[in-house]
Amino acid sequence: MKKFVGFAKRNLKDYLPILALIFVIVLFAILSNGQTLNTNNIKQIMLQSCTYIVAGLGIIFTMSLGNMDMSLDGIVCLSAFLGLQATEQFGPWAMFGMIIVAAIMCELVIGGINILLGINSVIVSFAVSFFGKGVAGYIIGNRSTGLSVPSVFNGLYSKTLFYAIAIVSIIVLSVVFHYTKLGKRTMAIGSNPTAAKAAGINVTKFKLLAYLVAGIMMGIATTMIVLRSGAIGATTGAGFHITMLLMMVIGGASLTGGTKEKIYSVVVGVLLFLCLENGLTVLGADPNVIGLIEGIIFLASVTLTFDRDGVPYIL
Amino acid sequence: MKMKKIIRTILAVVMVMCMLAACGGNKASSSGSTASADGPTIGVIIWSTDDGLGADAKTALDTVAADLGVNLIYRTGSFDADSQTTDIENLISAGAEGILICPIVDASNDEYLKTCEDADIPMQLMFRNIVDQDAYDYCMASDQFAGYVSEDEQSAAVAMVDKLLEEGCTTFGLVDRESGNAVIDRRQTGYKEYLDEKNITYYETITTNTATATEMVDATDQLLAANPDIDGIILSSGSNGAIDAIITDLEGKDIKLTSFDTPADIKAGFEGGNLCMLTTGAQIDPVYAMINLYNKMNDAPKADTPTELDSNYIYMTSVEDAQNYEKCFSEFNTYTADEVKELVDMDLDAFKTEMKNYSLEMVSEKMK
Amino acid sequence: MIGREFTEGYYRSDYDDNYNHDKVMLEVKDIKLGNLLKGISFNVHEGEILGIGGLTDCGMHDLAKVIYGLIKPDSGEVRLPQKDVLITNSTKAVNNSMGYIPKDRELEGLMLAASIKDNICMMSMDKVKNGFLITPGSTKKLANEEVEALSIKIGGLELPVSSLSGGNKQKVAIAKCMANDVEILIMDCPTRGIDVGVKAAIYRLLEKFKAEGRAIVMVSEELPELIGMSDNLIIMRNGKVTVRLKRSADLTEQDVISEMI
Repeated sequence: MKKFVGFAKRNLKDYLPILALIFVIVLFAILSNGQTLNTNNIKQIMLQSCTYIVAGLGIIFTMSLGNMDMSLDGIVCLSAFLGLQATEQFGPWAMFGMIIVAAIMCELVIGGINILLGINSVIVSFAVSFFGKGVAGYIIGNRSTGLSVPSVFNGLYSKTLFYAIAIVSIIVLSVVFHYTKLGKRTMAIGSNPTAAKAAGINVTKFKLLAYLVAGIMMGIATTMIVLRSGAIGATTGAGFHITMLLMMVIGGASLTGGTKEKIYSVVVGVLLFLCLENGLTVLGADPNVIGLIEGIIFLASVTLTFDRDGVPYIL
Repeated sequence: MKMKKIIRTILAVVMVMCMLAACGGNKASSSGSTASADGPTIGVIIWSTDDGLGADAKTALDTVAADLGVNLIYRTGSFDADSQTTDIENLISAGAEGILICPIVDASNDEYLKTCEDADIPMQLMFRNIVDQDAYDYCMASDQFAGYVSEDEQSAAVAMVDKLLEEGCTTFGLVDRESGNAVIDRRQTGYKEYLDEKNITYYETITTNTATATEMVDATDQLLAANPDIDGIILSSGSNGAIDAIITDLEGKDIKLTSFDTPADIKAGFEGGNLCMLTTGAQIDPVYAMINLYNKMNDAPKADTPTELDSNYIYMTSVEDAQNYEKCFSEFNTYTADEVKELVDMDLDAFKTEMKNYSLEMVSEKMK
Repeated sequence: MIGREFTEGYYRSDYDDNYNHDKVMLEVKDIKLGNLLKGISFNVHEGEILGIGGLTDCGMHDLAKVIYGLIKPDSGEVRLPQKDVLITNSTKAVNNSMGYIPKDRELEGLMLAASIKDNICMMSMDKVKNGFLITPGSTKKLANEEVEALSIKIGGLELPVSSLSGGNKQKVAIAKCMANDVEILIMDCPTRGIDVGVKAAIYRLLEKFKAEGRAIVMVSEELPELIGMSDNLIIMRNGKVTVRLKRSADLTEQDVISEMI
């Protein structure tokens, strides 16, 4: 019994997000008289979660480096815009390639500037955010026609495809993150870059690889967003980075990075956030109250996961 | 140390539980309650219910909804197509039987409609029409599209220019916003085209869509400094206190101002002497939109095909107008409960005529 | 102080010339680095403990980093003759069985927030992997082996390294290198801030490594330790080597200090 209590105490922090998820689901099911457990409702949540999960799986790599990535809204906007623009020049199928390439380039720029110039990666990511939104917004604004997804892709926005992408991503990236050199070395760099270097880890190479992974997953996620939206405007992707950050932290991901990161934080965090929003909407809560609650939970989560030992090493 | 952390956790969880319980308890008083579940539920998606137009729209909608026995659930704060689609999905889960939306991304209207079609419920647009050809074709051909209500931005723009010409202005200064907001874009295109047609000189400054009042005033000052012969200014969007600040800024100068939206103290604005025209009052738009949607939801649509309705702006050009406006519009008094029911029963032509009659005079007449 | 007696066997008790003079593991040729190092050269043989001593700012700490590839020298080279390889960065060093224990073990050598297991396996990922994958079982096994071999007192492999005492932290740092089977170990102030009991244990470990044929470079500010443990001792002053001394029972601190100042 004592062993169990000791185990529970030590790992409470780790299991709290999952417990919170179960708690939220049960709570809203009760409060809404089962409305939230309606099959359609659950399907909606699952569908909405796919894009966030895919993006989060990539971002957890850069997050474990200790990088809070504030560029996501710019990346989504710019990649989506370039992708749809490419369909006009090169035909509809160019969209996929263009979006992924654009997303990868953006992330590598962040990584590259951080490595070459030593500028804090959070700041660089802000810069990319402004740049992405600015460029896309400017050109979109000067266009007379809107930018729509080519109709040949209309069939692609389907639940099955999105679920498939999400599930495959979860499996592949869990393995890469927890069981390969890439994941472990990224976490080591996040824990203590000096020690990592001293241990023979090629910090530059692995940082860039982490950003590459993030870029690929952001590209896939942007593609999913574009398919879901049917068209893009200057506001596409707005707030994505904040929502993403909120979700990952609520799921237990630590802002300081390091070896404590777990990939299930992404899935748990996304689901927790969406169930919370969904539940509160079904109950008819005032939108401002929803924001307030999300803020409180975010604050609590950051407090619990922030590792003082990891602080000096934030890149 | 571990103990502290556990206490913190428990506190956080307890806090959250209380908030949720309180929130659940608020169901009855919040405007979006599902407690009185006898009437139909409409999901309303709007950019915000806190700013000038948003708050007025909410007041109007809440009053009319109460008259009709309709429950409203609001979703705000979404600024891209993906989030608005999520809003629609969440509202459907919450039991919405009709969606009233002010769409942010014009070309995604067909996507929004598809989400509604999947759930077999109708969708109605407010404050917007559909510009993108593909989206327009799709929506107009759909059984679940109730229609759209929008303002004639072009005519309003022309009226603003004419008013300034009336006041004797010869050189215009346009304080514009960057493109991205379809409504504001149409206003700006409207007066620029008209000014070009009439061969009138104008100078333009462009501010961001989120510019603060200070930034707007700075932009105006720079425009005036660069072109001192400007004697008439048009403001395409006066939100965030921009118009109040510019009115103060222009005091004492011999420059006339017309603007969209309203300052906090409208009467004082006109008394100052620079302001000569305000274009506002669009909060009637969602009311007409909701009535149109309500008809559709009750299988008594005003027309067999989606309706394309034009809503009027309210123009104010004098201190008396301002006084009238403040008297009539601090609460929503334009239509009584009985009149709302009449609007529901009207056929399409009568409804359109009624909408055409909407003006400051009409409302102040009613209130006498 | 734990009330143990150290009548014998604190430092090395032997004065034998017992390393392999024929096999040079590490060749350091004419290293120059700004004002810090002005032409340092030496060789380290299989089974040899080479001590490097001097005042704090004599340049020896930077020398350790240069040998390990963490700092690029202005000129000169670090070579492993047995493998015919030049050491230019730390990744190369690690891939060629070199290990480094920094002077500031907390800041530079360990991931404090990470588990003991993760720290021990940090350098050994290539060794432990199975194809692309690193299974949790293999890392656990490796970590356990090292904990046993070095007698590290831990509460559990998953506990963070920050929970250990200074001495045990140092053992973990050593374990990290040993897990990767290093042949050349560079240690900077290996027993700084560690209590006597653990110090003795570390000296025993060094003797064991020596017997196993590993080459050890020990940079230290503690003279007794250098005199007691080294086969050969280099003293530096202002970036230059002032004297090279051989292990001998007659060597005293006085002899050495004059060369340091």
